[in-house]
Amino acid sequence: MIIIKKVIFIPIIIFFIGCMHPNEESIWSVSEGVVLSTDGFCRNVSVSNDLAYVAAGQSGVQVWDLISGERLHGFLGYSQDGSYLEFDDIALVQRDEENDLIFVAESNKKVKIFHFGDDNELLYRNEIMSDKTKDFISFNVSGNRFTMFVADNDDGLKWGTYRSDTTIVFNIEIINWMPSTGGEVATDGKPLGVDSDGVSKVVMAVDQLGVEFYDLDTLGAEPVLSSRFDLEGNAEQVKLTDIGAFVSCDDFGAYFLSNNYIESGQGSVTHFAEDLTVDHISVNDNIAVLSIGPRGIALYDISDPLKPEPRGIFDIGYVYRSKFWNGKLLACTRSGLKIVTINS
Amino acid sequence: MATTPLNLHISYHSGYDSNVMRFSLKEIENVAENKDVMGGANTFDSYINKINTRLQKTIFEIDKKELSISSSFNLSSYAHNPNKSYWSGNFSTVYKWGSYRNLKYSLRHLNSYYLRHYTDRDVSRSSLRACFFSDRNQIITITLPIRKRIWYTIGTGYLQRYYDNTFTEFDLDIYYARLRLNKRIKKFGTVSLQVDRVSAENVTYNKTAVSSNFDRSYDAIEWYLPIKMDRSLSYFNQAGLSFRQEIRVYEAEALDDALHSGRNHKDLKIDLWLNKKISDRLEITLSSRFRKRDTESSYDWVKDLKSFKQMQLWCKIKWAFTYDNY
Repeated sequence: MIIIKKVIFIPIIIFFIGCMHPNEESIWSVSEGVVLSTDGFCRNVSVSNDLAYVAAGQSGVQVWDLISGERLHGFLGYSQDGSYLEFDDIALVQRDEENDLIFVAESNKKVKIFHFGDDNELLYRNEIMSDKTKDFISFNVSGNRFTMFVADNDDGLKWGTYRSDTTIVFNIEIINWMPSTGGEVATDGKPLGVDSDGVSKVVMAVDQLGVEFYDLDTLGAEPVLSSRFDLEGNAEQVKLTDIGAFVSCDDFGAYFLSNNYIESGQGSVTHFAEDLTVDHISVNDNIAVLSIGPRGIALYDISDPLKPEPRGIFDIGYVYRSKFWNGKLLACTRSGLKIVTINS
Repeated sequence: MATTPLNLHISYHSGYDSNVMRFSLKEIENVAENKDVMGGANTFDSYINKINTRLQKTIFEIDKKELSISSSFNLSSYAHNPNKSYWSGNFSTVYKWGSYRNLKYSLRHLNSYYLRHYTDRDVSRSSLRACFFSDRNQIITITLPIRKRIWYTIGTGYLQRYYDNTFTEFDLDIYYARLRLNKRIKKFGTVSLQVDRVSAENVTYNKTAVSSNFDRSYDAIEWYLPIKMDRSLSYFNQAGLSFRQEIRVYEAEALDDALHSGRNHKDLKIDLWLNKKISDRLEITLSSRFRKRDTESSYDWVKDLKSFKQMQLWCKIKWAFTYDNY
């Protein structure tokens, strides 16, 4: 019996030595945190001072406290000339903290300017730009002004610097934002997305014709077309970074164009996520987040942006676009604004 | 305690596999639309060359008590499908203390065994990557007699089936319990019945990206019925026939996981073999295996996708040597 015990002891030791360890994939992981339920589809978000200004589709414009996860305000419509008008389907939003403004645009409509100050009321000011606005980006300019660039689907790149203009009619103060400078650069393409560094560059995604890069002498000066790159697929959105531009091309995945390539045309374009339908790209350090609609998000390691490495597709719902906030990802999904942590 | 010799076997197997990558009929019909699924192979079938060596040594032998160890190494090469070539090894130790009384521990490793090319859904919608897995199978069994010429074996095993990079979402820890009854029949041979109760846990469920959202855990019962005839044969030394069937039921019940949800399959293997000893040291074995997997699912496309047939033919030549210092 003693010898049997000894014999059993040997395989038990071998058993533990004999176990193997699973292989590890170079996949990142994501942790879904709070979901800010926006009722309508969360199509777009703008963040300022830890407050999220949300384009909530048919649920209008909402303001959320990202720290507490509370909805502070929700606006389904607004008053104009004594009438209450409901929003149809808010697609775009941006906060201008310095001027106490919120810019919103419904699908294919003009950009509406609202005052949103300490009284927390959404006060309609006026509309700017034109119909068929697909995307816009605005920068605060000293002297209570702002400069906006718009991807106008039927005209081209619209731009303008606006200032506040107050008129008093029958003792009623009417405040409008009027252009001090502005104009339009026509393009053969069909603009869908626009981005800018707010200093010297503007880039616009022009659907089948690729992307167009514009130079600025100063913010507020007329953009001058510097280069155009035809890409496969339909260029929908573009993200300008310090190292170059990331372009989402719908069914043809994504592209990275380095600054060197943009300026000299030398080198090659980096095509990645070729078989994904990419609607939007957001970038933070070495992470690129591709919004891929019903399939969620696709993560890429862009430590070497010329060789983006896939780090996993994560089904976090139908994602329209995303934005980084405090190292976390705000994902605009059909079920609301999701706060996601990426473990890279 | 006497010094014991070292026994060495070397065998060469020449074989043919009709469906190396276990394609279903539907997949074979559709392969022209996407030749990449062939993983670079030009044929569904392949010739196979396999070499096996086995060492066996008795450590001690006192009266009826005996402790022995053995180890084997296999190298397989698929002539028409280089991805499929692999090696495997085995180590086992047996302690015997009488007729039909033994305690056995066995460790088997199968290294990077190629299944086929699959879509890596963690990072892509369509790009195909080679899918390999490695097995580490450990089992401990005890064999005891019931009465004259009837004995049984009970045991428990732990199989780690871990996939190579890009497909780790399929990683499984498989636990199984085994019961085997054996009967020696006079002037005929041996008949056995073995039943394995298997429980497989998908250890990477929800731990990688999107493809790990589906649970691949399953439960299974496998029965194995080998019939070996080694008496009353005029020319051959042994003839055998075996049936092995696995009935597997996946645990997944998610409605969005059509591929696994409510799926089960019956995997049947029928083996037939003939063995002839040419001399004390040389023997030849001819064998064949027919395999058929029938998948049941609520979805016809899953049935079509996961059901397949396979035929293997083998010719094995084995040389046995003994090395003794004295």
